Amino acid sequence: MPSKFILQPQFMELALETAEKNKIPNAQSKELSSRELLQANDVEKKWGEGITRRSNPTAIYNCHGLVFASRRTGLFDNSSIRQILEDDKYHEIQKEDALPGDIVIYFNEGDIEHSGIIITAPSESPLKIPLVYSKWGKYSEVIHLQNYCPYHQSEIKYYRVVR
Amino acid sequence: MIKVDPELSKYFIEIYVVANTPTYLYRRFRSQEIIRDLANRYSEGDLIDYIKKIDSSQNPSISEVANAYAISVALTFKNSEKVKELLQSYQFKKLEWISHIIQIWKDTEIPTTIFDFNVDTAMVNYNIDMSLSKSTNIIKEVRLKNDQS
Repeated sequence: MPSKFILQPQFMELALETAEKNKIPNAQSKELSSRELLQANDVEKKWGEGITRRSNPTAIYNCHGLVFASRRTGLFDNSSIRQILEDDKYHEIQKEDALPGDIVIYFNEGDIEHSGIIITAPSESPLKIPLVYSKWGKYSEVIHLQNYCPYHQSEIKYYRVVR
Repeated sequence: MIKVDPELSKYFIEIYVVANTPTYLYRRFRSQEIIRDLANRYSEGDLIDYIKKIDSSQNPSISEVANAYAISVALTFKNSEKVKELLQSYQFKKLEWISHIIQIWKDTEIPTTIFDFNVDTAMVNYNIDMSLSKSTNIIKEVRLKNDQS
């Protein structure tokens, strides 16, 4: 989908740039407080058995904010993520070569739906499925198997910064 | 006034809370039959009134916010001209992604222009070239003027 994220004036944006000094649009969401987000306990019921939740829910940053902006803010725009991948010298790697610290991106018909950080290489798992550390929307930071999350599994790519 | 069943709200929360982007929210909600049902059950005005009410709340609950997003996607099954008219000049204060959801809808909307063809039945050529059009065009039906069916 071609839509570009429209930042409304009342939302807080940080000064954020790629390694090539291209501006990265971002926003710290204030839609709901962390206390209100704790009411989302059905997510826990649905996914809780197979995940390790490692933070309280917060709307301040999303998955891309965890991976590319050190948890300071949320990134929502497909084209900015692509810009970061290019400017910051992320190169696509094969799944079997992925190591802890590499990143994984979940695409859905061209949209970047989710991103996370690999914490266990696929080669270390009997089923060759890496363990991923990511943030699920406004929910918590979560440790999960790459294929156990609410995001589309049809196109998953792995990246490493190569400078 | 729209009343959303609490069980349905729980389901909406499950989708809303894990959405990393407005596009995810739009796609996930739009693929649910229940969202289409909401669109069928309520008018554009009812749906927009609910969204505006939640948007004006000082501290909306998570279920109210999730419902408002689900309802905003239900709006995308309605008459776009009417929705544009009702939302014209409204500035969202609390619900951060509604404008973007409406924008995704506008960007992906398939035009429903009706063309009148005046052709001889014996000379119908189905290779209609629409390559100059910027948007996706789907010809659902070709009706001939002397076709009585």
